[in-house]
Amino acid sequence: MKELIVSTCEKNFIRQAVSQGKRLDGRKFDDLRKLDIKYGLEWGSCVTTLGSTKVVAQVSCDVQVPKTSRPNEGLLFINVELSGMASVHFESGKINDAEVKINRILEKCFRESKCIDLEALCIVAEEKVWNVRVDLNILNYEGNVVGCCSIAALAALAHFRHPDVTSTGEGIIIHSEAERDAIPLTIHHYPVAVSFALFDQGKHIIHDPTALEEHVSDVQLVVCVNSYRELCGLYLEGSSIKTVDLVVRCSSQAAKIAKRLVDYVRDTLQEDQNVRNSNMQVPGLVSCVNEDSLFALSQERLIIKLTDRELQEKIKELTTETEEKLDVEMKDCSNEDMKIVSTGPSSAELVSNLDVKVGLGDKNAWMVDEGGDYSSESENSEVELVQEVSRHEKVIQLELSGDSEEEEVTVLKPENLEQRDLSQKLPKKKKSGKK
Amino acid sequence: MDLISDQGLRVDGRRAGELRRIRCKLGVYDQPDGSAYLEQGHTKVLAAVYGPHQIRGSRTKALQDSVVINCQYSMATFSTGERKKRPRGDRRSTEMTMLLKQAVSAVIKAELYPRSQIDVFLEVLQADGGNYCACVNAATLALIDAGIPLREYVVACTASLANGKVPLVDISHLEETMGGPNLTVAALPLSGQIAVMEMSQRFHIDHLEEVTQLALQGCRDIYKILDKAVKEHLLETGDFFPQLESN
Amino acid sequence: MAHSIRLASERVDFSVPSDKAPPQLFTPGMVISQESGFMRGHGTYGEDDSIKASVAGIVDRVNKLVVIKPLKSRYNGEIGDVVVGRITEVQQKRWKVDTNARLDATLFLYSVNLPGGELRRRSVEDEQMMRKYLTEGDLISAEVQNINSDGSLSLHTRSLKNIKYGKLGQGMLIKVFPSLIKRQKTHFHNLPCGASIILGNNGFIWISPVINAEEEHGGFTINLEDAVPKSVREVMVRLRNSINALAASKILLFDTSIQYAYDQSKKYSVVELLNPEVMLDVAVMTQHQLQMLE
Repeated sequence: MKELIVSTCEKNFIRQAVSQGKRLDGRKFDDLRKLDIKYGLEWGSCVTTLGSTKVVAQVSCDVQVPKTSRPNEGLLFINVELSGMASVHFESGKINDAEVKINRILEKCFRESKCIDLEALCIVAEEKVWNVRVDLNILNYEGNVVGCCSIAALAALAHFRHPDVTSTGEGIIIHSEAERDAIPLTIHHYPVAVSFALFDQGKHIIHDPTALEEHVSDVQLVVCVNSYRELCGLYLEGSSIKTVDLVVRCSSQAAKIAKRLVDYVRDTLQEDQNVRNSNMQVPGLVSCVNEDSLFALSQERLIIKLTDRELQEKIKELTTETEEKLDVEMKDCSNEDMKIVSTGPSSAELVSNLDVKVGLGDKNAWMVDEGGDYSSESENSEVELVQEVSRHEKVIQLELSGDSEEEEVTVLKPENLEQRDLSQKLPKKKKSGKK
Repeated sequence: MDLISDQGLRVDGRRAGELRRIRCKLGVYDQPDGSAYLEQGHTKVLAAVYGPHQIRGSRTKALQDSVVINCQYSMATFSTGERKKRPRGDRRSTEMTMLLKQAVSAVIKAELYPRSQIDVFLEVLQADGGNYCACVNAATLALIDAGIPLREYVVACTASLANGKVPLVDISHLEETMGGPNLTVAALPLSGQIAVMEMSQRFHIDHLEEVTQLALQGCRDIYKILDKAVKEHLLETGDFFPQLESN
Repeated sequence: MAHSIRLASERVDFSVPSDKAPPQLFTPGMVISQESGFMRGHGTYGEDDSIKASVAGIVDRVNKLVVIKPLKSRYNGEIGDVVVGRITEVQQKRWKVDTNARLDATLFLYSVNLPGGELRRRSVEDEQMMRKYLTEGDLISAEVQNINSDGSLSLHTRSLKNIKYGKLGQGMLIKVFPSLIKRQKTHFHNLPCGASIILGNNGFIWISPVINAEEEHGGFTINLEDAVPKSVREVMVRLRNSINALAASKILLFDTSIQYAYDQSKKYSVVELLNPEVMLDVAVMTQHQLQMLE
């Protein structure tokens, strides 16, 4: 299995952000991403989405011979598939560590905690029992896959119904859906897995981490709790942690989250039940794909989200700093030359009205650059000077490199350069404002 | 059958906080660089360590600044009550392998051996509960026998809750299957850090702290036993030490 | 011939009793010293101002340096050591040699003498003929020339004076712990019993029939055709068994101790020497003799 490659500056950025109490997508430390469960037409199938992590679950059953050590109990088998579809760095075919880990956690969570009444699945003792099989396929791996899988499995199991069975003298008759209603499974308690990422020896605890946050964190902890505050499973991974009470704290937090999640699952189940009872067209899984908006299949490019207010504060900070530094008479910088433009829900971009290139990345560490902060318009004149020089240089280089007379030498005018650069950064509607 | 009787005795006659008898021996084999044999009650485990040596196979797996640790956990087919069809490769063994690797990586000073590989092989000869713990303890002894620098010992212990109230330490196979929850902790006893923590079945959150504390206390007790065994082993082969004085 | 089978519980304890006082032992994680004046050597690490042990062994204090020597460890090379190794790979312009260390050692093409003894720059044809000189699986004796930054050794077989390094021909290889080989001025010995041995610092010992000084040997020509007479073979085998007896009881190996062990073993037949009790007896007697020497 190839490793998820994260660059050092990304790692440092995330760690710094966490130590200042911020997360990349703007959530608070204990916020969960948006959870959505959609049930399919068949009993026991559902698609669960937690932010960008997507898992599809399907429960099925067949009749089998029970285990010799437990002759009057049914069988429950949970299988998780984590293939190359979920993420580029998983190899299909070979079993990788993450898959085994998720499989084992779910087994502990559901099977060993005895959340399903297996004795009710017995048809004929020692000969025939129901073998319930939960198959989970991870469609997209974007952090907290265990949590998403556990919710999917729980929802699917709660949704599932197995066919009714009557036994005649010699054999058994399995009734189809048309003849007799299918029977739901008896669930004693509802467990869910909650995962945490711990940074900095446990000083910062993050709920529902994304894949990047998981990879960068020191310790990953998964706690399986049910709504009665009982622990069903615990799994600690990463470098050693110092104290027990970290784990205890996480478990109590997990209990609160678990209650919320279980209530949500129950609500969605109830809704689905209502839809089916009222004989309306059951939407099924089609509703996952079909969306009536233009942006249905678009992807959000920006994963860094800051609030408007923070941005305004940051501008004021920056401009006051440079004021002190340069001692230049400044125009009122608050709103005339800088504008905040909204580019989507809870995201914004800082745009200057002047001919300044915005957002060209961090300070140039390769050459000594006198440009300084591009985002401050008090250094306007200096900025422009530098830009002219570099543009000029670029033009010269192009001319010289063309040795062959057959090559067409095109000289890029400064305006063309600017045009091309800026059009990538700004949304289309702002282009007219540029010229 | 009660896990703990009114007089406070468990199924095998121990008290709630007593460990099973531990016997161990270092250096049982000549071929591997380090080897150890450990018995914890009826659970018997063999550990062999090879390394550090050049990475065999693909060069690309070499890490530039630390050692690659390779673990393998295998249960002999005769180790359990019913014959085990697959000694290794099934899910539970793979999970054990991962947890073993995590425990061992927490103590090996990996930065001392860049581009090398250390192999740890565990074989369970008889499984009677606490397999993982016995494996971790045996692996620690084998690593010490091989002379690989460790931060300190890594010791593992299980704990459980009987009848919903009384915490038990070092549970056997019977107590595992009778339905009680079990918590496995691999810790570094001197510094108190936890390397691996794993739990199954269910019990109420409020009990978590006391069960964990009992498991940690069990780890500290096991550490004393293992330390004594290592020192005895060193003394037995003490005739080796004259070399230092003659140098 | 009957095979001897014994129960594990009846295994012989190979430790030879010593009358020295038990030294102070350290195990991983124990604090050696709380003072900060000491320098940390091998086998120790520092944490929170105190020095802790990281291997199990006894402590060796030399002035301000604190070192813990473990019982067993992989070979750690020093410049000037003689090693016996096996070729594992043939690469461009060099060979990789397995020396029981944590990384394979390197033997560069320019560090070996060309057959015929010419002194010239190695050309492309030499590179292509490398496999003719040494191929995978060959045993060589060499000297450590250099230690690279990552810890791997650089070997050379260019002989000075009359020490002949190079490919090894007919003989036997024994592997023991590197710490059992005593450091001496010379590691090539022609024992009076009629065989010669090379005590590699890495724990590999090579026993072979007596080498005549006039023979053109070393380098890359090995003599595989001459049949070794039975008497010499017996001597070699007896040597091997006595070395194993000493190694099992963790007695230091050098030419004197090996010679004594050989003498002590004469009262048993060669086959009996495989018996654990006999091995222990030989070791005990050798230890006595060595102590009388001191």
